[in-house]
Amino acid sequence: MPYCTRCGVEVEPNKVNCPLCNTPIQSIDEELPDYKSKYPEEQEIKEEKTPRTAKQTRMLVWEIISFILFIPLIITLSINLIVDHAVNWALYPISSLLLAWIIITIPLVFYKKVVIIAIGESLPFLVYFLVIDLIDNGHLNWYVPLALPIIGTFGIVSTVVAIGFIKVKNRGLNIPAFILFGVGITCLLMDLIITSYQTAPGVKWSLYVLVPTVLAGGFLLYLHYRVIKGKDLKRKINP
Amino acid sequence: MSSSSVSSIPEKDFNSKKFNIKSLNLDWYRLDNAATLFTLVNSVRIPCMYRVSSTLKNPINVSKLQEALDNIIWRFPYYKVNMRRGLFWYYWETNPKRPLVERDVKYPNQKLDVTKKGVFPFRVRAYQNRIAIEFHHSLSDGTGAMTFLKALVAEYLVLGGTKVTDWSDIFRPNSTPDLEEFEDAFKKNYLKTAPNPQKIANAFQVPFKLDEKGTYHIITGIIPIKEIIQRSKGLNVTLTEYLIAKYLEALQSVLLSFPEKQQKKLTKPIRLQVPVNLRRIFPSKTMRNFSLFVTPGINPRLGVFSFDEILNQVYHYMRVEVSDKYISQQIARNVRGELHPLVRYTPLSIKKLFGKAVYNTMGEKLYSGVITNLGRINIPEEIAEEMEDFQFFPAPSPSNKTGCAVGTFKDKLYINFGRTIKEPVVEKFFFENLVKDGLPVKIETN
Repeated sequence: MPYCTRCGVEVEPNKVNCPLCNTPIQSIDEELPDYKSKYPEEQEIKEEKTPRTAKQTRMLVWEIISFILFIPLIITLSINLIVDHAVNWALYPISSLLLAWIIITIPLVFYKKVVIIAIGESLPFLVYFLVIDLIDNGHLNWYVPLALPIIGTFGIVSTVVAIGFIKVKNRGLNIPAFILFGVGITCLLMDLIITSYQTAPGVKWSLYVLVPTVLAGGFLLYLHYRVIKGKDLKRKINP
Repeated sequence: MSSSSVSSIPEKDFNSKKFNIKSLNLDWYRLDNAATLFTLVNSVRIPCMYRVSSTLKNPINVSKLQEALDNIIWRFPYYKVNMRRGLFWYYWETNPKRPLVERDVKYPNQKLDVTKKGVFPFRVRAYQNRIAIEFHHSLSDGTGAMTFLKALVAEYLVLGGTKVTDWSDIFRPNSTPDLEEFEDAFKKNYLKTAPNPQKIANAFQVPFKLDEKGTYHIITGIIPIKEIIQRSKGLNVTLTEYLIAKYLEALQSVLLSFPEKQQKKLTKPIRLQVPVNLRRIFPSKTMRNFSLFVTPGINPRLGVFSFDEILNQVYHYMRVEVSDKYISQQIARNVRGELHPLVRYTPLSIKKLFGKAVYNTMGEKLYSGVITNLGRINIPEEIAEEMEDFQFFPAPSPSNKTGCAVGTFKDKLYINFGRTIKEPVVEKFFFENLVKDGLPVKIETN
């Protein structure tokens, strides 16, 4: 029987090293004797749960959110029906909830499909405000001169910023710069729309926003493309 | 007594057998006091599974073993159960299914989904010449598993033609279970007036990284019983006390093997969990859990202990602590905890959240290891002749890292270390020291 020369214990004949101290076992015979190990080599095959894929996770999130939104919808609808025997004021919360549901659904279902998301995220707003304006007294009042251009502005600006976010190669300070530019331009256009609706075409306050956002955004772009030059920001500011 | 009166049962007739559980109101019952905690922490890292095994002279015939299991399970109605979820606690329910023999695996004592419907809280495994039983600790302690394995091996051998004249304490399929075997002996011996035992500080724990989930490394040390008894007798201590002292010494050596800076951080009391079979102190025939621990140890903050000092400490500690008075303090604390209305009326799902924290602070964190001695396994001569060994394996522990279970069969002592880390650091010091003491040690691994 083989022994470990270091710790002095007797080991199983098929051992190459001592199980305690890992010292090589010196065997007299060159070949290992025919010895059956006391335990089988294999472990039972476990049924491993396959982890949820990203798509499954998104659909689960969608399901949960849909369910959560569905509850207040039913509650408001039934209260309106019970109290007034009609659906009138409930149209406001219902249309808002439906809007929220669509806005959440689109990016979860059409993940990374930029064009569909851009349309899907702005079109519902157009319809929503149209509905709200109509619910009020059955006519269009503020929809065409005010709601339509503001929604258009938001849609176009956020789409441009989003495209910038997706297309740009080295993400870093350039992303906040794009957002700042977006904020500045949105304010300018909104000011233009509102002032035109109230009095005559022109701008009032938006230049105070535009100048600092453009300057700050420009400074960030300068930092990003001239100083950091696309290097990983985390590495630079790692505390 | 003849044995083959109930030789083979086809599966469909399996439920129509004697001992009417339902009329005795035993078709469902509460978990015992110790079991409640084990079920709350059951996980891959803390599977609460331990094992007894026996190697026979000849290779195992699996279909014959299945037949033996079919026969013998009726004698153990408290093991023919399934754990079910209640609103406040888990409970045992008679399992209508048939336990099946499984193939053995490389790493024993892995997690068993005991709360799944129809799952038996134990496994019966066969490999080459060996029959092994893995018990979930909520079912019973070492004594229960040992009694079950003895009965199973005896029935298996009888089916194979072994003639037995004297059965001694072995359970036979045609005998009727005693109702006392069902009892929760903790509650029976609950002394309401006993104060809680003193709280103890957290213990030193071997600071190695756990090996992958699902692994469990076994090192078996086999020593001639005569020589090791001679050695412990020479020191005027029992075999268990000698082994406890050696284990503590090994843990101290592990601590001292770290560089000084790290040692300072790690230096905490070295303390072992030593289960005591309470059936010896409070008479009970229960086949469910009935054991608690004493916790001998040393405090390395007082300096390095020599082996004689450790042995001295262990010797006196054991004589004081292993007494009905001190043990009943522990029983009182545990039962009181279970019966507290705030605990009782907390929904099970919330109990489960706290279960692990309680288990850690009350149990695992206070100990550096566990050593349990099943003692000499007595088996009638005619059966023992067909058996090579009878071994006992500890449950994996993610915080103690190592555990040790000991049993004596025929002329050999089997010391089984199980560990959840890669490096056999404790085992190395432990067995090397035994060799230095002049004892011949044979090592087997999985």
